[in-house]
Amino acid sequence: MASDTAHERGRLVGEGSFSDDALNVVGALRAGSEAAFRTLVVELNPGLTRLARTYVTPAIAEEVVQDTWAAVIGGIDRFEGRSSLKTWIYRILVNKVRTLAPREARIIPFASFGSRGDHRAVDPDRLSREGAPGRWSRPPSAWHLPSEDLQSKELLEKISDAISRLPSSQQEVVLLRDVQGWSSDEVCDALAISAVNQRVLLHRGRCAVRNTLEEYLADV
Amino acid sequence: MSEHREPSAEEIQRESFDILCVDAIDLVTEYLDDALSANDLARFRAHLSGCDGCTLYVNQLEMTIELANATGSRRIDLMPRNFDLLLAQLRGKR
Repeated sequence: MASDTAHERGRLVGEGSFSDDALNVVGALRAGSEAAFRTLVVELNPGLTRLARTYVTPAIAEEVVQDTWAAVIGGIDRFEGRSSLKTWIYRILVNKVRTLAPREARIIPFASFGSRGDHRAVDPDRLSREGAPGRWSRPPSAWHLPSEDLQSKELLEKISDAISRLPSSQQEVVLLRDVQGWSSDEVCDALAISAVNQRVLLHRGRCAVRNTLEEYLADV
Repeated sequence: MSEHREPSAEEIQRESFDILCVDAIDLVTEYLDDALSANDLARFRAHLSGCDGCTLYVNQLEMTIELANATGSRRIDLMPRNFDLLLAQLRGKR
Protein backbone atom coordinates (compact mmCIF):
# COMPACT_ATOMS: atom_id res chain seq x y z
CA MET A 1 0.00 0.00 0.00
CA ALA A 2 2.87 2.33 0.76
CA SER A 3 3.73 2.57 -2.94
CA ASP A 4 0.32 4.04 -3.82
CA THR A 5 0.38 7.78 -4.10
CA ALA A 6 -1.97 9.72 -1.90
CA HIS A 7 -3.48 11.35 -4.95
CA GLU A 8 -4.37 8.09 -6.64
CA ARG A 9 -6.00 6.68 -3.58
CA GLY A 10 -7.99 9.83 -2.96
CA ARG A 11 -9.32 9.84 -6.47
CA LEU A 12 -10.32 6.20 -6.34
CA VAL A 13 -12.37 6.75 -3.24
CA GLY A 14 -14.55 9.14 -5.20
CA GLU A 15 -15.62 6.58 -7.76
CA GLY A 16 -19.20 5.40 -7.68
CA SER A 17 -18.61 1.69 -8.12
CA PHE A 18 -16.74 -0.30 -5.61
CA SER A 19 -13.42 -1.11 -7.25
CA ASP A 20 -10.55 -3.33 -6.15
CA ASP A 21 -8.55 -0.20 -5.44
CA ALA A 22 -11.19 1.04 -3.06
CA LEU A 23 -11.06 -2.37 -1.39
CA ASN A 24 -7.36 -1.75 -0.89
CA VAL A 25 -8.19 1.50 0.87
CA VAL A 26 -10.64 -0.33 3.10
CA GLY A 27 -8.05 -3.01 3.79
CA ALA A 28 -5.47 -0.37 4.67
CA LEU A 29 -7.90 1.36 7.01
CA ARG A 30 -8.70 -1.93 8.72
CA ALA A 31 -5.00 -2.45 9.19
CA GLY A 32 -4.77 1.00 10.75
CA SER A 33 -2.83 2.70 7.93
CA GLU A 34 -2.30 6.36 8.75
CA ALA A 35 -1.46 7.20 5.15
CA ALA A 36 -4.71 5.71 3.86
CA PHE A 37 -6.71 7.46 6.54
CA ARG A 38 -5.05 10.82 5.95
CA THR A 39 -5.73 10.58 2.22
CA LEU A 40 -9.35 9.78 2.83
CA VAL A 41 -9.74 12.65 5.27
CA VAL A 42 -8.09 15.18 2.97
CA GLU A 43 -10.37 14.05 0.16
CA LEU A 44 -13.67 13.99 2.01
CA ASN A 45 -13.44 16.30 5.00
CA PRO A 46 -14.28 19.58 3.21
CA GLY A 47 -17.39 18.12 1.60
CA LEU A 48 -18.53 16.48 4.83
CA THR A 49 -18.10 19.76 6.67
CA ARG A 50 -20.01 21.64 4.02
CA LEU A 51 -22.88 19.17 4.14
CA ALA A 52 -23.03 19.18 7.94
CA ARG A 53 -23.33 22.96 7.84
CA THR A 54 -26.58 22.70 5.93
CA TYR A 55 -28.14 21.35 9.14
CA VAL A 56 -26.26 22.86 12.05
CA THR A 57 -23.97 25.72 13.02
CA PRO A 58 -20.34 25.57 11.83
CA ALA A 59 -19.12 24.72 15.35
CA ILE A 60 -21.52 21.81 15.73
CA ALA A 61 -20.77 20.75 12.16
CA GLU A 62 -17.10 20.42 13.09
CA GLU A 63 -18.03 18.23 16.03
CA VAL A 64 -20.27 16.01 13.93
CA VAL A 65 -17.57 15.60 11.30
CA GLN A 66 -15.07 14.66 14.00
CA ASP A 67 -17.57 12.08 15.36
CA THR A 68 -18.16 10.79 11.84
CA TRP A 69 -14.48 10.05 11.33
CA ALA A 70 -14.34 8.31 14.71
CA ALA A 71 -17.32 6.21 13.59
CA VAL A 72 -15.55 5.40 10.32
CA ILE A 73 -12.52 4.13 12.24
CA GLY A 74 -14.74 2.19 14.60
CA GLY A 75 -17.01 0.79 11.91
CA ILE A 76 -14.72 0.08 8.96
CA ASP A 77 -14.50 -3.59 9.94
CA ARG A 78 -18.26 -3.84 9.45
CA PHE A 79 -18.27 -2.01 6.09
CA GLU A 80 -19.70 -4.47 3.57
CA GLY A 81 -19.02 -2.62 0.35
CA ARG A 82 -22.65 -2.53 -0.73
CA SER A 83 -22.25 1.19 -1.35
CA SER A 84 -19.09 3.07 -2.19
CA LEU A 85 -16.84 3.98 0.72
CA LYS A 86 -17.58 7.64 0.05
CA THR A 87 -21.35 7.36 0.21
CA TRP A 88 -21.09 5.05 3.25
CA ILE A 89 -19.14 7.73 5.10
CA TYR A 90 -21.56 10.46 4.04
CA ARG A 91 -24.44 8.34 5.25
CA ILE A 92 -22.85 8.08 8.68
CA LEU A 93 -22.61 11.87 8.77
CA VAL A 94 -26.15 12.41 7.52
CA ASN A 95 -27.57 10.02 10.12
CA LYS A 96 -25.73 11.81 12.90
CA VAL A 97 -26.56 15.30 11.80
CA ARG A 98 -30.23 14.62 11.09
CA THR A 99 -30.79 13.49 14.65
CA LEU A 100 -29.36 16.80 15.83
CA ALA A 101 -31.58 18.90 13.63
CA PRO A 102 -35.24 17.88 13.44
CA ARG A 103 -36.59 18.20 9.96
CA GLU A 104 -39.04 21.02 10.70
CA ALA A 105 -36.38 23.14 12.34
CA ARG A 106 -34.08 22.77 9.38
CA ILE A 107 -36.45 24.38 6.93
CA ILE A 108 -35.53 28.00 6.52
CA PRO A 109 -38.68 30.14 6.59
CA PHE A 110 -39.58 31.18 3.09
CA ALA A 111 -39.75 34.80 4.16
CA SER A 112 -35.96 34.78 4.35
CA PHE A 113 -35.66 33.05 1.03
CA GLY A 114 -35.14 35.35 -1.94
CA SER A 115 -37.51 38.25 -2.28
CA ARG A 116 -40.69 36.30 -2.97
CA GLY A 117 -40.52 33.20 -0.88
CA ASP A 118 -41.84 30.84 -3.49
CA HIS A 119 -40.16 27.58 -4.26
CA ARG A 120 -41.71 27.29 -7.68
CA ALA A 121 -39.07 27.21 -10.38
CA VAL A 122 -40.06 30.58 -11.78
CA ASP A 123 -42.27 33.34 -10.52
CA PRO A 124 -45.74 32.47 -11.85
CA ASP A 125 -46.24 36.13 -12.75
CA ARG A 126 -43.67 35.69 -15.46
CA LEU A 127 -45.84 33.21 -17.30
CA SER A 128 -49.03 34.23 -19.11
CA ARG A 129 -52.38 33.31 -17.74
CA GLU A 130 -54.34 34.70 -20.66
CA GLY A 131 -53.61 34.97 -24.36
CA ALA A 132 -50.94 32.26 -24.47
CA PRO A 133 -51.28 30.54 -21.09
CA GLY A 134 -48.25 28.65 -19.85
CA ARG A 135 -45.85 30.64 -22.02
CA TRP A 136 -43.40 33.29 -20.90
CA SER A 137 -44.93 36.73 -20.57
CA ARG A 138 -41.66 38.06 -19.17
CA PRO A 139 -38.95 35.70 -20.45
CA PRO A 140 -35.48 35.76 -18.90
CA SER A 141 -33.15 38.36 -20.30
CA ALA A 142 -29.59 37.57 -21.27
CA TRP A 143 -26.87 37.80 -18.64
CA HIS A 144 -23.93 39.83 -19.68
CA LEU A 145 -21.12 38.18 -17.82
CA PRO A 146 -17.60 38.69 -19.11
CA SER A 147 -15.79 35.36 -18.77
CA GLU A 148 -13.42 36.80 -16.15
CA ASP A 149 -16.46 37.63 -14.01
CA LEU A 150 -17.43 33.97 -13.87
CA GLN A 151 -14.70 33.43 -11.33
CA SER A 152 -15.16 36.69 -9.47
CA LYS A 153 -15.13 36.33 -5.71
CA GLU A 154 -18.25 38.42 -5.34
CA LEU A 155 -20.25 36.32 -7.74
CA LEU A 156 -19.13 33.05 -6.17
CA GLU A 157 -20.03 34.39 -2.74
CA LYS A 158 -23.45 35.32 -4.06
CA ILE A 159 -23.94 31.75 -5.27
CA SER A 160 -22.72 30.23 -1.99
CA ASP A 161 -25.05 32.54 -0.13
CA ALA A 162 -28.00 31.60 -2.33
CA ILE A 163 -27.32 27.90 -1.79
CA SER A 164 -27.03 28.38 1.97
CA ARG A 165 -30.49 29.97 2.02
CA LEU A 166 -32.18 26.96 0.46
CA PRO A 167 -34.19 24.66 2.70
CA SER A 168 -31.82 21.93 3.97
CA SER A 169 -33.43 19.19 1.91
CA GLN A 170 -32.71 21.12 -1.30
CA GLN A 171 -29.41 22.45 -0.08
CA GLU A 172 -27.87 19.04 0.58
CA VAL A 173 -28.81 17.82 -2.90
CA VAL A 174 -27.51 20.98 -4.63
CA LEU A 175 -24.29 20.77 -2.63
CA LEU A 176 -23.58 17.19 -3.55
CA ARG A 177 -24.75 17.33 -7.15
CA ASP A 178 -23.66 20.79 -8.28
CA VAL A 179 -21.00 21.99 -5.86
CA GLN A 180 -19.31 18.61 -5.45
CA GLY A 181 -20.29 17.15 -8.81
CA TRP A 182 -21.68 13.80 -7.62
CA SER A 183 -23.90 11.57 -9.74
CA SER A 184 -27.59 11.26 -8.88
CA ASP A 185 -27.06 7.61 -7.84
CA GLU A 186 -24.39 8.60 -5.35
CA VAL A 187 -26.59 11.34 -3.89
CA CYS A 188 -29.58 9.01 -3.52
CA ASP A 189 -27.32 6.49 -1.81
CA ALA A 190 -25.68 8.94 0.61
CA LEU A 191 -28.90 10.73 1.54
CA ALA A 192 -31.19 7.70 1.42
CA ILE A 193 -33.71 9.36 -0.90
CA SER A 194 -35.45 8.16 -4.06
CA ALA A 195 -34.34 9.19 -7.54
CA VAL A 196 -37.57 11.10 -8.08
CA ASN A 197 -37.26 12.92 -4.78
CA GLN A 198 -33.65 13.75 -5.55
CA ARG A 199 -34.57 15.28 -8.87
CA VAL A 200 -37.43 17.36 -7.49
CA LEU A 201 -35.22 18.77 -4.72
CA LEU A 202 -32.40 19.45 -7.16
CA HIS A 203 -34.75 21.16 -9.58
CA ARG A 204 -36.26 23.45 -6.97
CA GLY A 205 -32.88 24.25 -5.47
CA ARG A 206 -31.16 24.99 -8.76
CA CYS A 207 -34.00 27.11 -10.05
CA ALA A 208 -34.05 29.12 -6.83
CA VAL A 209 -30.32 29.75 -7.09
CA ARG A 210 -30.77 30.84 -10.70
CA ASN A 211 -33.50 33.25 -9.61
CA THR A 212 -31.20 34.81 -7.03
CA LEU A 213 -28.49 35.14 -9.62
CA GLU A 214 -30.92 36.76 -12.01
CA GLU A 215 -31.92 39.36 -9.43
CA TYR A 216 -28.30 40.03 -8.61
CA LEU A 217 -27.25 40.42 -12.22
CA ALA A 218 -30.19 42.69 -12.92
CA ASP A 219 -28.95 45.01 -10.17
CA VAL A 220 -25.39 45.22 -11.48
CA MET B 1 -54.88 36.80 -35.02
CA SER B 2 -56.30 34.75 -37.88
CA GLU B 3 -60.05 34.24 -38.33
CA HIS B 4 -61.73 31.50 -36.33
CA ARG B 5 -61.88 28.10 -37.99
CA GLU B 6 -61.68 24.46 -36.97
CA PRO B 7 -58.07 23.25 -36.50
CA SER B 8 -56.88 20.72 -39.08
CA ALA B 9 -55.97 17.16 -38.07
CA GLU B 10 -52.32 18.07 -38.50
CA GLU B 11 -52.69 21.04 -36.19
CA ILE B 12 -54.42 18.91 -33.57
CA GLN B 13 -51.60 16.40 -33.75
CA ARG B 14 -49.03 19.14 -33.40
CA GLU B 15 -50.93 20.63 -30.48
CA SER B 16 -50.78 17.35 -28.58
CA PHE B 17 -47.05 17.07 -29.30
CA ASP B 18 -46.22 20.63 -28.32
CA ILE B 19 -45.31 21.46 -24.77
CA LEU B 20 -45.61 24.85 -23.11
CA CYS B 21 -42.88 26.91 -21.49
CA VAL B 22 -44.25 25.99 -18.08
CA ASP B 23 -43.79 22.29 -18.93
CA ALA B 24 -40.34 22.83 -20.41
CA ILE B 25 -39.22 24.58 -17.23
CA ASP B 26 -40.41 21.59 -15.20
CA LEU B 27 -38.41 19.21 -17.39
CA VAL B 28 -35.09 21.08 -17.44
CA THR B 29 -33.44 19.11 -14.65
CA GLU B 30 -34.46 15.79 -16.17
CA TYR B 31 -33.20 17.04 -19.51
CA LEU B 32 -29.81 18.00 -18.06
CA ASP B 33 -29.62 14.59 -16.36
CA ASP B 34 -30.36 12.76 -19.63
CA ALA B 35 -33.35 11.29 -17.85
CA LEU B 36 -36.13 12.21 -20.30
CA SER B 37 -37.90 9.49 -22.26
CA ALA B 38 -37.25 9.57 -26.02
CA ASN B 39 -40.70 11.03 -26.56
CA ASP B 40 -40.33 13.77 -23.95
CA LEU B 41 -36.85 14.56 -25.19
CA ALA B 42 -38.18 15.09 -28.71
CA ARG B 43 -40.94 17.36 -27.40
CA PHE B 44 -38.53 19.26 -25.18
CA ARG B 45 -36.08 19.83 -28.04
CA ALA B 46 -38.85 20.85 -30.40
CA HIS B 47 -40.02 23.39 -27.84
CA LEU B 48 -36.52 24.80 -27.32
CA SER B 49 -35.95 25.18 -31.03
CA GLY B 50 -38.88 27.58 -31.21
CA CYS B 51 -38.55 29.30 -27.83
CA ASP B 52 -35.78 31.80 -27.10
CA GLY B 53 -36.99 32.30 -23.51
CA CYS B 54 -36.67 28.63 -22.61
CA THR B 55 -33.38 28.28 -24.49
CA LEU B 56 -32.01 31.14 -22.42
CA TYR B 57 -33.47 29.62 -19.27
CA VAL B 58 -31.67 26.32 -19.90
CA ASN B 59 -28.41 28.16 -20.61
CA GLN B 60 -28.72 30.14 -17.41
CA LEU B 61 -29.37 27.01 -15.36
CA GLU B 62 -26.26 25.45 -16.88
CA MET B 63 -24.33 28.58 -15.95
CA THR B 64 -25.76 28.39 -12.43
CA ILE B 65 -24.50 24.80 -12.13
CA GLU B 66 -21.09 25.83 -13.43
CA LEU B 67 -20.87 28.63 -10.89
CA ALA B 68 -22.04 26.36 -8.07
CA ASN B 69 -19.31 23.96 -9.08
CA ALA B 70 -16.75 26.78 -9.03
CA THR B 71 -17.66 27.53 -5.40
CA GLY B 72 -16.71 23.93 -4.56
CA SER B 73 -13.10 24.51 -5.47
CA ARG B 74 -12.80 26.83 -2.51
CA ARG B 75 -11.82 24.19 0.00
CA ILE B 76 -12.87 24.67 3.56
CA ASP B 77 -11.77 23.06 6.81
CA LEU B 78 -9.23 20.82 5.26
CA MET B 79 -8.77 18.70 8.37
CA PRO B 80 -11.03 17.67 11.24
CA ARG B 81 -10.88 19.62 14.49
CA ASN B 82 -8.77 17.01 16.26
CA PHE B 83 -6.99 14.90 13.69
CA ASP B 84 -4.41 13.70 16.23
CA LEU B 85 -7.15 12.15 18.32
CA LEU B 86 -8.43 10.29 15.26
CA LEU B 87 -4.93 9.03 14.50
CA ALA B 88 -4.69 7.76 18.06
CA GLN B 89 -8.01 5.96 17.61
CA LEU B 90 -6.71 4.50 14.36
CA ARG B 91 -3.53 3.27 16.04
CA GLY B 92 -5.75 1.51 18.56
CA LYS B 93 -6.91 -0.73 15.72
CA ARG B 94 -3.48 -2.18 15.07
